Amino acid sequence: MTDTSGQHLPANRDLDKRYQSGDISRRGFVATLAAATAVLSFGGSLGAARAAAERRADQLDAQAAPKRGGILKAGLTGQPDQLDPATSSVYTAAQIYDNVFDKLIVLDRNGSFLPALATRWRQLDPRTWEFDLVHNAVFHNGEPFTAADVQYTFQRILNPKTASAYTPLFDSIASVQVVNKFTVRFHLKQAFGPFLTNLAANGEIVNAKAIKAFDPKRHPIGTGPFKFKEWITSDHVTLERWPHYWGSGTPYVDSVIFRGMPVDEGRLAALQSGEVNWVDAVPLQDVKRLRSGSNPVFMTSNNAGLPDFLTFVVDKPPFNNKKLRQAVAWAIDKRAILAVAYFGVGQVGSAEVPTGSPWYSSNDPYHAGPNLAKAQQLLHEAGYPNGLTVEYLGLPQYPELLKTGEIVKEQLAQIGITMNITQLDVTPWSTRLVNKNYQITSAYQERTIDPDNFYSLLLTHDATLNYSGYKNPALDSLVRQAKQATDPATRKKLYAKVRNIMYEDVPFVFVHYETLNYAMQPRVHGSQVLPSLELRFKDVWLG
Amino acid sequence: MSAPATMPAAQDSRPVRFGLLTRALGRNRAIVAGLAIVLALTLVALAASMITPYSYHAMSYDAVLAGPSRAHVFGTDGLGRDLFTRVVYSFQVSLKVAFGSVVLALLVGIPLGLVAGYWGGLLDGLLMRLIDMLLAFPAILLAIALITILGQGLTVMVIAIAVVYVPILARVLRGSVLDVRQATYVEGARARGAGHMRLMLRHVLPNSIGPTLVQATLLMAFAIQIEAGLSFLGLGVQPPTPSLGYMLQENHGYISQSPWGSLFPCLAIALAVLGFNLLGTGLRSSLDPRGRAR
Repeated sequence: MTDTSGQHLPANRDLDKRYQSGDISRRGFVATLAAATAVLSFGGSLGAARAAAERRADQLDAQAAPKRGGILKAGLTGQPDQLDPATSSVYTAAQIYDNVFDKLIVLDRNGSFLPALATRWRQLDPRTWEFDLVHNAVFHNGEPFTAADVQYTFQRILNPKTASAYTPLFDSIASVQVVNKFTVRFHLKQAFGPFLTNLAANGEIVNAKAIKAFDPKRHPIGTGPFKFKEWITSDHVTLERWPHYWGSGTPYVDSVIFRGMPVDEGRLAALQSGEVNWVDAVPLQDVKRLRSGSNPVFMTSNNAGLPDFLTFVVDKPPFNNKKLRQAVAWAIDKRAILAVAYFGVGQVGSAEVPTGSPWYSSNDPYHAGPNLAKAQQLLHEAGYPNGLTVEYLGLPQYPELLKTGEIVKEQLAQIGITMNITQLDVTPWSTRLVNKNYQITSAYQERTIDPDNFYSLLLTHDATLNYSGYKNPALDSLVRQAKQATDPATRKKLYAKVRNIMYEDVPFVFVHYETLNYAMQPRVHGSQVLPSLELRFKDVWLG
Repeated sequence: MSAPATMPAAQDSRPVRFGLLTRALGRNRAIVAGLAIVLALTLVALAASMITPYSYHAMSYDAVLAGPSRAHVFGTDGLGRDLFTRVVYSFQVSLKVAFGSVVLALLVGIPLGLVAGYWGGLLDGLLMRLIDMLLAFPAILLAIALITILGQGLTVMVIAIAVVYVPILARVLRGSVLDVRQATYVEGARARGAGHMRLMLRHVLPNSIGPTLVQATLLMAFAIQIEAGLSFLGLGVQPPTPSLGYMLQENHGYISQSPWGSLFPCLAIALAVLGFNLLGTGLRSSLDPRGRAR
């Protein structure tokens, strides 16, 4: 998201401040903003149907039988704002409360749906989905889980009084019908491709009695593997194993302690000293060293992360000139940027989704680049035979993005474009971005599991986060078709067409795909990186 | 209390100052060492392109965070740029800021201090309360506030630091002027019919400027620190122009991989600050016969 979305809700201003004061890291920051504007809507992923048993097994470490007991101490990048899944807007909070709550379905590491509180689901017609629910789930307050809780959960999210940040993810829901105690039916206003993905991303099921009896912001109560124990503000959150968890055998550890550690180097040092045994967001410069060793264990995924891209204001000079944008796209050496700015971690940028995504289509012409001769020719055709001078807004808060800017500056100099860098803090940067008061800058977008989350939010002419001024009715129409189609194969083809338009018009240059990185002690087993960026400790055990 | 007031032949100040300087140079090792460092750094900054074969923004993608070697004596930074080259070019920024801000501050501060001290009364009261207000701000915060208003860049940084310095220099000068304006030679000149302008510029200023110049030299050292601080915060020159503080910022995530990326800019800051400090303290002890610090 371009952290742009930052400007939409007053809450985000706070975030900017907190980000600047170092309370939350980039990753936390990104997700927060994303959540606040509901950028999070994950997309529906493909191939929803593998056998549940198989998937359960592949979540576990293959080598050994899981052991019960122990305390898992996790170092996160920031502090939670609150622990109510309907209203929290901080990524760190989601990392914590996703262990307290269950959703109907979840995404596995390949982007397929797994059953959770729903054992089976089916689409009765394009606008109706039915879910069979587990019979043995119990909320941490002792209330048994039933279809009424599902109904309450989504009524609560859609109730304006709740002021949920996630309303846009679910406003396609017309009604939720309790068919019987363990069957629930969703009636949609219109067919909606990303529906399942959104359920898997932000559909944490809550209980009406628990919401009334406890402050949901401070004392979350779900059916999840861990029960909330305590939250010492600005220090830690402790969760305890829920002995009545419906998933047999899990969880394994007795408790989980989440600590906020905003300083990258400090987090890694805490892991190495044993203060914590699991950390999020390994600094990129340390990845090479961690990869070559076995302690701590380094973990990443090729389909979990976020795209970093250059964005232009395309309705004002000089970048209202398509050939000029194409020249930039051809001049950039993404492999050098990967090697230098990102220390070789992540992927060369190509599209809004990573190459490991089921949505990926390999029709990116710039993948063969850079091609300076072509870039120079395009620059000539664009009417700048003698080059030009442009201004790039740099974000020093995100060292990789600023380094990218500095490398791009050198690369554009080779074709005669002088790119001056102006560094800005996040807040003035987003102000200029939102007002389209820039020429070129780096941006990123969180959680684009479903391409709709990218195109409907950033690129259609009425998109809430369209800060490039891009407008193309052909693209709008394709994005709308893809959103309303429910067959994954059809949708995939439509998104390949969308990308063809994007590669031709170049409102963005996809520079890099940043991947999520975890590190842990070798005794921590069963942790995995999920494309939903969720953190689930249910299957984690300590050797 | 002001040193020149006790000097003989104080009526014509110029010979006095040069006399002092030559004497100080001969006697005071601090001045000699300080001057040597400052001159050396100035020469290095001026001749940067002759000293190093690299450009400060040329990247070497296959030598990122490399250690010191024959090709790169200080090693390279996170973008594969030669650290020695960047340190050398950084002195240009440091010295521009140090000299620029202090000269600008003197241009404004001297008239203010002189007028306030010489005239006294309501004008003095008003100016000094204004200066008190400015001095109440921590220097770096005031500079940050100004940069936020005026925007980033070298010129703005020079102006911001100068604004911080004006009250300091004006106040020091005013103190000396208060002393000197009562001196018998000033009264003598007045008795001979000298006008205010002549009294201020020919008699009071030359005999009260000493401590202010000492202070100005010391403030150059401080300016180098402020510049490094502001650049560390990203408020100084814009990349890829190198600055010592910004180099520290760029390397701060990589300290464990590349200690030299922080070490050399740190040493460079220390050396520059040391040079101006030695010069300043040396001048002070030479100019104050009682060896008292102002």
